[in-house]
Amino acid sequence: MSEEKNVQVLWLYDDLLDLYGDSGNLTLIKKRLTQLGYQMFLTRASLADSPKVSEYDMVYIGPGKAKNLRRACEHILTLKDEIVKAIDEEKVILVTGNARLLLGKGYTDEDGSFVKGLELFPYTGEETGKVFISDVVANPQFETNESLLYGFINRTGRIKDNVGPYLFKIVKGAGDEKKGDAFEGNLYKNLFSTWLLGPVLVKNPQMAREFLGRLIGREQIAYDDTLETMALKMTLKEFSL
Amino acid sequence: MKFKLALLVGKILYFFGKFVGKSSNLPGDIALKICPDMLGRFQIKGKIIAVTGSNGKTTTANMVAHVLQQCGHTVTNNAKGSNMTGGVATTLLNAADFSGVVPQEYVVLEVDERFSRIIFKSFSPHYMLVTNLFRDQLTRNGNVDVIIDKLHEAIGPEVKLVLNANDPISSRLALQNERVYYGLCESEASTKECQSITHDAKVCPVCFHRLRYDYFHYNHIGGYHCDACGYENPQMKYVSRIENLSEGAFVIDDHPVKTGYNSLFNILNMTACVAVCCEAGIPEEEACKAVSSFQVSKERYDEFQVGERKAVMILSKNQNPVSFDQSISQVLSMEGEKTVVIYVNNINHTGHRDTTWLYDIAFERLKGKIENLVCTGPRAYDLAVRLNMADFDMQKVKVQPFRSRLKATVDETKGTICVLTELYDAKGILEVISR
Repeated sequence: MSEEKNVQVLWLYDDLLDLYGDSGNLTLIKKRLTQLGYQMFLTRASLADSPKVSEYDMVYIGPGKAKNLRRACEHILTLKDEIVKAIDEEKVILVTGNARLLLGKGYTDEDGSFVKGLELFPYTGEETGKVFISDVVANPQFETNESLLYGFINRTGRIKDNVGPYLFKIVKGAGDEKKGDAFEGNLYKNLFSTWLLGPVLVKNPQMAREFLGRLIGREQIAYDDTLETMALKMTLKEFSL
Repeated sequence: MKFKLALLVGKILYFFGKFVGKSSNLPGDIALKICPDMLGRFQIKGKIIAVTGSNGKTTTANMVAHVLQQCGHTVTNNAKGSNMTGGVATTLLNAADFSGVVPQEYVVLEVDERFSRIIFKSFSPHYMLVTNLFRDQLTRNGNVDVIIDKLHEAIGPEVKLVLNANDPISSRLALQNERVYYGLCESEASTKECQSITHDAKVCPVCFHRLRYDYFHYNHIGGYHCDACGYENPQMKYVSRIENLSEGAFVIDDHPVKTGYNSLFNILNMTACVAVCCEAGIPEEEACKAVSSFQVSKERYDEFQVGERKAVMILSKNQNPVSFDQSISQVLSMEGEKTVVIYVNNINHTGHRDTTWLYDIAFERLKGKIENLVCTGPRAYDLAVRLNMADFDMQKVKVQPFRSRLKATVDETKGTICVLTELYDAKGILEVISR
């Protein structure tokens, strides 16, 4: 982090991977950083670019349509060294929805062909072409207390053999592969990866605090998120837990 | 035999259904149970025009029927937006005589894009008009690519397509089919930057590199080109140009057209209507004259009084951000002080608590333009969070999740009450507010 309180954010494949609600997470990051006296600079990069990923403070990749995901997957292999470097240097990274398929060994596309992934995790994925939706209530694994979090899955893909380290313990709803899975997502160093799509940081104030804390330092995190907390409480109330 | 029986039963049900308000889908649904391949057994004498797309298909299909009738032709159509299999069957069995002959010169069918492949399994339209394709109810439909695959199953090799040249997505449907394009030139109301969050064509449909826009009419509808592969708007056969937008005056290929609803969205739909009518044999001058006399139905717009205050109800489609963006445009076009009341429910067909789709609506456009905003419904707080993220002045935002207390909350606000909600929730909210 530079002394001028600047935060450099890279949104990878903002054009290709843009399923829905994806800008919400970055809206939150920008709003909170601005409140805390930081200036956020957003860079968008896609197929025509070869960004120095490790030079950014934060990286975001969201979910996309199957055809687009395949193009992104072919391209992201050219960035592998930079992405590994960014993770090792503990840059803060958020990967949501089917963008998770990019991080594993690869995935079987709907036509049966295998698309090679970054091999950062030993899991494999599958594109089924069938829409699967689920509400999810989960315990984040970055907290010692048992706080609850809400998210939503809307996917046509799934992941098999995720062996962790996990991001969430599932209380209700589906995990990486199916309903009834015990865990979901990955939290490795500062890489957060989850099927919960859309504005997951906005919906879950405790996750936003954790994420921002890792980005600019925990001692910096002082803002009012009463409204988000109330919205989450109202949502969780509707589940018989 | 089965067909004749289905036809008879359907006609009887239609006759009685009219008295109990069950005449738009039910007769067709039951008739299809008796004769599952019924749709293919009608002897349709006239030209069949199908109208589909994500947004604007009901209005555009009604417009097409209006133009054809104004030009002196006999027409049958599913006017009430009953656009699934049962609705189409009902329309045809009602139009047919007892031997199954549909005698009208034109059959205009609005079809749901997801059901089109089932509807057109056993018969095929002569023309298919596609208004546009957007993300729409992603929890039910899947993404736009999934819709395209379904439409491809519905488009037979003989169907002539009438497509929107301003839409990089729907303009590339069934490339092997014969086609014509319509479109609207850049206008004073077009913008250089996208005013919406929902933009479904950020990449080139051919090479997947970033698509460059010269102008936007709304969402991803506009003028575009790809620097990487040279792809650009296809050549339009039917071209609209705005003459005087505030007066709703424009020309289609030099023929003057007028409308009382002067949004670019509606002008494009009117152009689409003229294009398909001309392809189906109507002289362009006559079509332009006839479309000018079409009144946009106010099914999704209603005015009423709440005590001394004027109130309007603007409905949008469930989880359809483009439709909601249109509702916001309508609020912005109104004069005077306004308070916006927005009802947000759980996902209507499944009950899931997701509100992701709110992040695809450009609520930012309302900032500083309205007096108050009231968030209500089960997901009222989620909407308030969304508005807070958009940096609204939260002093002006009121949150009232409970319907029973909504009236009191609305009474604390000023100006015309603009209720923005989905079709499904309209009745409930109207009962409370206008009490």
